[in-house]
Parts: sequence; structure tokens; C-alpha cells
Amino acid sequence: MSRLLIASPHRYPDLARLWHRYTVRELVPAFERLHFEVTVNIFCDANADQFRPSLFPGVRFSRSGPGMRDFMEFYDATLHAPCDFLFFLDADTFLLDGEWVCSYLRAFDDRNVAAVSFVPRKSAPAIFALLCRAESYRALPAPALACRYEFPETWPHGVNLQPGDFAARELGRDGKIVINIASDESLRHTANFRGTTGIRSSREYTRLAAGEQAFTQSIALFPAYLVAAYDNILLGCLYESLYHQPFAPDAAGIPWGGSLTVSDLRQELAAVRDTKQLEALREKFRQSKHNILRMAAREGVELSIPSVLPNT
Amino acid sequence: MSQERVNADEGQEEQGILVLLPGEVHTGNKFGPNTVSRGAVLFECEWDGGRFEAGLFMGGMFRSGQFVGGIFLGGIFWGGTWVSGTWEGGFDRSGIYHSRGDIPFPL
Repeated sequence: MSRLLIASPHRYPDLARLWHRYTVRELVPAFERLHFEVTVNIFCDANADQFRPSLFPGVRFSRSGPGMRDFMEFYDATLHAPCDFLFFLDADTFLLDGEWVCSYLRAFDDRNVAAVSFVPRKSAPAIFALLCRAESYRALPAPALACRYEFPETWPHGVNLQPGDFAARELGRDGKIVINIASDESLRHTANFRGTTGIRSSREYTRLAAGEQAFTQSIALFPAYLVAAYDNILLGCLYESLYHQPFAPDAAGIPWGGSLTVSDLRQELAAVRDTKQLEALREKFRQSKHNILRMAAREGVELSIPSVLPNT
Repeated sequence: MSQERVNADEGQEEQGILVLLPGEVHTGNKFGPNTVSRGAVLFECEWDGGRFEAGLFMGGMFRSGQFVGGIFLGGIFWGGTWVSGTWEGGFDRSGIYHSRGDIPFPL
């Protein structure tokens, strides 16, 4: 019996609850049907006291500590856990078709195949949803999975390798293969809400270091925040329909106050004057809405999704 | 890269020292030795010789100076002196990532 470890770093228990719901329903049974012994491991990168084990049946929790101080060290520390395969799955990545994932297991019959990347980044393999042969990654120099900044002397023109990029390159040099699922195929079987954790943590850090006003100012600098904020609203609509609790609340319990509230997002979007940017946002929002509706359909719930873009 | 740059409504001059205050957000700017941050947010900025007392240094290049307080997140700590503050993650001058709670290597 092969052992599979599904490993995922999280900061926020509400998003983790959604992630866990889909992971144990769609992914875990598909592997178990193939006689895998499956362990789900959530790393609490922050707010560890808010992750109530009773809400995550069957999950093994890891907390920040020596050798695993943050999610970056978690990746490499996890390589040494007792398992044959490791599945790194991001907090904001939902795999909606376990059979599709398992259909790629036969690729590992080729001993040179080290991993399958199910969600690419800019058409290249990424750690978002990466099924790894553990021994291939253990053979790499440590830290294998951490990010790096190459040619820092040329900043800001150096190369910022994301987690897993260095490993993929080293594996390639050793003649190993990371199978890269193309975006079109990936999108049919997954739902991604990239940056939804990032905007919440950015808000936390900015508020802590420089106050709320600074965060509000920074939104205009980073259009990606607008997409992440909208995605959090969508996730929140689903979360509230399932659990009747606010999603991404602030300290006062206001829904989405830890990201951007609906009214704040509307205000930010009303300030966007660039028609091309608005069109790009409209398209991103449409894709995200399609994804959340697919997830809602599996739950048999109807969502009431607020409109946020100005009518043009 | 621009030279040390200050918008008219940003920063305060105090006896030739540029003081960056809470509520200020800078992106892609360079700050020289006569700068003190007392609570600004700096995205992808270059810090070269000043004193970072408080605020958020996110991305960017800490080329030289003193980091005395505030949060360092995702930037390159090329040189200078780490006195105190919160290291949330970032790179040393070799481009190696150092995790939360680490202290960047001294020169």
C-alpha cells in the first residue's frame, strides 16, 4: 500500500474549512479507492489557536516551530515525513475531480517522472497542486522547495524563483520529469482563487506596521488586490451559505473586513478609470464567478452574489 | 531607479532628515542616508543608508543602513545592520531565503 501525504499551509481557518471540505470529498476517496493510505496535513502558518480540530476531522495539524517556522520551511520539512507520495495543495486551490488527478498516477510508472503539476503558473509547473514522488525530491540539495532570489546584485532585475521552481530545475538537470498539465485542462477540473490569502495577510501586516489607512492606499497600487478581494467575496458567499458564519471577518466580526468589504470593493472599482483594466477585471470576475458556481452546484446551494462593478 | 524622491505631500523634513510617517505608501523609490521611517509602507523600494525605525518594508532592497523596528517581508537584506524588528521572511545577499524569526547574516 502506497502512502500519500496531502500537505497544505493555511493562515485562515475559514478558508481551510472550505479547502478541507472539497479535499476530503473529492481527492481523498479517489486515492483510497486505489488503496492509498492517505494523510491530510494542514500547517497553521498563523492563527493556530483558531483551527479547531473538531471542524477538520481526520486532519493532522502542524504548527509553526523550530524547523518549520513558516510555510516555506514546512514544504521542506514535509519532504521527510513518512510517505511515498506528497501532494502539495495550496490553500486557495480546489481540486474538483479526484478521478482526474488519479488518472495521472500511471505516469509514475516511469521512474524518471518526479511529479505532476496540476495547476500551472504562467504555463510552467508550480507548487499550487503538485503531486510528487517523495524520493525524487528528497534526493535534491536542501532546501529543495524554498524560494530563492537569483542574481540579487541585479535587483530589481534578478530572478525570483517561487517555491518549487528550483527543485523543478534541478530535477530536470538530473533527467527527471515534472509533468505539466496545461492551463486549459487544469481549469476544467480545478477552481483557483489566487491571492485570497495574500490580500488578507497583507492587510494584517500593513495594519500592524503602518495602520489601516496605509492598506487602503496600497490597494490602488496593486490591481491584483481587486481580483483577490472579489474572490474572497465569492468564497464568503459559499462559506456563509454552508456554515452561516462571516468569511474573512475583521476584529469586529464584519464580513470580509479582513480583506475588502463589498462596499469598499465597489468604491475601489468605481475609482478605476482605465477601460482596459476594467474589462480585464470584468473577465477575471466572470471566471471566478463561474468557479464558485461550480462549487456551489456540487453543494446543491444557490448563492446570492453581490454585483460590485460599476454599470457601464 | 530614481534618486531619493519625495512627493510634496509625503515625508517631513526635520533638520535635513526626511522622516517617513504612518499613512505614507511608497513604491519603487530610493531612499538615501538622511531618511528615517517612522511607520511608512515601502513596496519594492531601495533603502540605502537611512534608519528604518517603524513601518513595513515589503519586497525591495535593503542595501545599507539600520533596521531598528518594523516588519521586513520578502525583500533582500543586502547589507546594513539589523538591530531589531520583525523578520517575516526574506533573502540574504546570496539570494537565500530566511524564514520567519530569522535574523539576516551580518556583513
